Amino acid sequence: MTKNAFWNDDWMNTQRQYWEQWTDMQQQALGVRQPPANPWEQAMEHWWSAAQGSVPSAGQDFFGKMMDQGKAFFQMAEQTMQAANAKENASDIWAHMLSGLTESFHQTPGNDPFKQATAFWEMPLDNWNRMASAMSPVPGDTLRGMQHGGVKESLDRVLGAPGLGYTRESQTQYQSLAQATMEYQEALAEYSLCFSSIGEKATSLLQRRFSNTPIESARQLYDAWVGCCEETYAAEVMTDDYSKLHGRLVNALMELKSRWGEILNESLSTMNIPTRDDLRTLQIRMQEQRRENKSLRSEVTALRREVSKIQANAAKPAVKRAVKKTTKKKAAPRKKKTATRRKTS
Amino acid sequence: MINFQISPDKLAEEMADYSRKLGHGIQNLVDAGDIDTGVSPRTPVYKEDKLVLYRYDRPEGVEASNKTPLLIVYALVNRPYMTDIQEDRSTIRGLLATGQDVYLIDWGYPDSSDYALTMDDYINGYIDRCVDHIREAHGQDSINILGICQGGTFSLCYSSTHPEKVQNLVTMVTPVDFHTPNDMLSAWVQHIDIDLLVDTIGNIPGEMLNWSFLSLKPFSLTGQKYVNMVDLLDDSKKVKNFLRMEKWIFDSPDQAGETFRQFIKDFYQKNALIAGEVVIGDKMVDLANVTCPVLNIYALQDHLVPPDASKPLGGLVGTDDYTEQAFPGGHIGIYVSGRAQKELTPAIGEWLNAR
Repeated sequence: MTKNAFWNDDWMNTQRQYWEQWTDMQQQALGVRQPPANPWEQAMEHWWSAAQGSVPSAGQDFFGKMMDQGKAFFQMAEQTMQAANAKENASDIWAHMLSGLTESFHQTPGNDPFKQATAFWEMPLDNWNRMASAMSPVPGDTLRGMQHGGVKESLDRVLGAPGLGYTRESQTQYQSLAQATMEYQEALAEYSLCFSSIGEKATSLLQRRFSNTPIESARQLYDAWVGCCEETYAAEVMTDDYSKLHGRLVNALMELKSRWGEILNESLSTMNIPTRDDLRTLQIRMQEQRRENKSLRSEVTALRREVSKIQANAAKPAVKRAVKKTTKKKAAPRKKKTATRRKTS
Repeated sequence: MINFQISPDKLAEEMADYSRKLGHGIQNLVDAGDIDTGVSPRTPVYKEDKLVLYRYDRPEGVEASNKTPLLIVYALVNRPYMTDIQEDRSTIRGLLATGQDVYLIDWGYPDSSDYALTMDDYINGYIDRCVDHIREAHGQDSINILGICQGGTFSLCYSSTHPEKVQNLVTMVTPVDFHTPNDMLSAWVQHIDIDLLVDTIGNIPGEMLNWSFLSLKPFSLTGQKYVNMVDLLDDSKKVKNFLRMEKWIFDSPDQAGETFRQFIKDFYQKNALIAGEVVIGDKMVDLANVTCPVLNIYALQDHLVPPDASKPLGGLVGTDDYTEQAFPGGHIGIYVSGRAQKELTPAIGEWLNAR
């Protein structure tokens, strides 16, 4: 039995017994209710929620990632195993798993049994959303779920109509913002769809590659899945189509942010608060002055060096002359002094 | 026919094992404490704005076998402590051991007041003044430069426009041709409206760069590596090394907007460096003007700067003394791997000492 402040094997055994008993009790007493889908995952979550308070914040993120990935690959294996229990031969199991994965790419999040495996494909999107959140006043995925398909054309027409009257400029700004929002939604949806398509291709690759290779552990299945995903992704994202899609997504986010900025600038101006444009002008002027100062400083340094050289050069003969003159001058008073002395004496 | 051999017992055992490793490993994580980086003793010798020029202390018992000092110019992306990340994995320590007098530019963290810094400010301003400072301190007309990644590209521009101040140039994992077929970063930026991007957000946030780099291998870099790490959690030293790398990966300074604009448009989109069409300030960059000896090192498994992006340098520089060295590793392994410490860093030192 091994113990430390966060873990001991007794705890693991207790958890296992608890889930076994609980599952049995449910099955016997309630009959209709199903046992929890992933007792391991739930037990780990209980443990993690108790332990994470003691982990430094920097380590929490790191540890959370290991937890999430563990859940992903065990759930994938568990689903495969359950399929194996339900099917008679191996080819059925494989077909069930692959069709489950493929369907999962077309489903919205919910009770999808393969959601952990396909949630894996959310990683690039998740990274994007995190990054977009860091640069937006709203969470990065706010606009992702919004549906606009059927009404886009009519909305475009409405939003394209010119503003009228005293608030014309303001109307135009809000129309542009709405258009930019729709464009971004559309780009994000297209980007998301692209990843679903890549995911399906990765599934096919997995099927082809491991059609004759025994899968002996959850870890082997996970590593195989990662390898196929990475290989498919690398090939797809090097295409010109993807490059255009990627560009469209970034440009759409920037356009949206730019429209937001315009409206914000207007509001700040009315409150006599410096706007982004004002700051940009100051930044540019400040850098110009900094550049000019540095240039002048190095010029002054160079000039000082020149002056020092000139002075040094000028000083050399002057010293010689001065030495000669001093000798003469010193000699003269001596004579005079002597003379004086002589006179005195 | 698929041969599934994952039985419920086996799976339960695997899950228990994973949980046990996590549970035991958390103690090492708690004990990891502060993550230290940049381990070699050094002294700041020159400061300007956010830039600090450091001179590294020569280890006891090591004689200066090269009277020409060496300046390391790191990329603006990520932090330069990668070159000195831990005691047994330090390019700087290795160079000091070969008798080099090592200086390094730390660019700091640009903020909004640095938005308008241009490539001219970086190359003909900051780098040039650091070079002048070192030349004056050592009474030398020219010095050695080692440029890393984007810092290597900057060093090439500098060596082309100030050839009289560079005695030898070493470039490591340096992009020169930005339009090679397997350059993922280059493919992704081709359709981005860089003017809109920079005009809209000003400085480019570090988060955006992280997103780009992690997107190169998203499943390995944001998923699998954490699963692999679980196997190493019981080794406190490995946990600390892993956390140190994590710190470096996510320690991404923002990029000065105007510099980013020119770098992406001229280098990545127009591929103007190899066409001889880059202008930095009022100076045209012609790589044929790089007449000093050049050592160009690239990593064979580099997914950020593919070897094909570095290798064309040989046909573009104006020197007769050009050496190319391929390193079997990746973009990061070239500084931190055991092999790099044993083979690469001593080879750089030898090459410099011979010139």
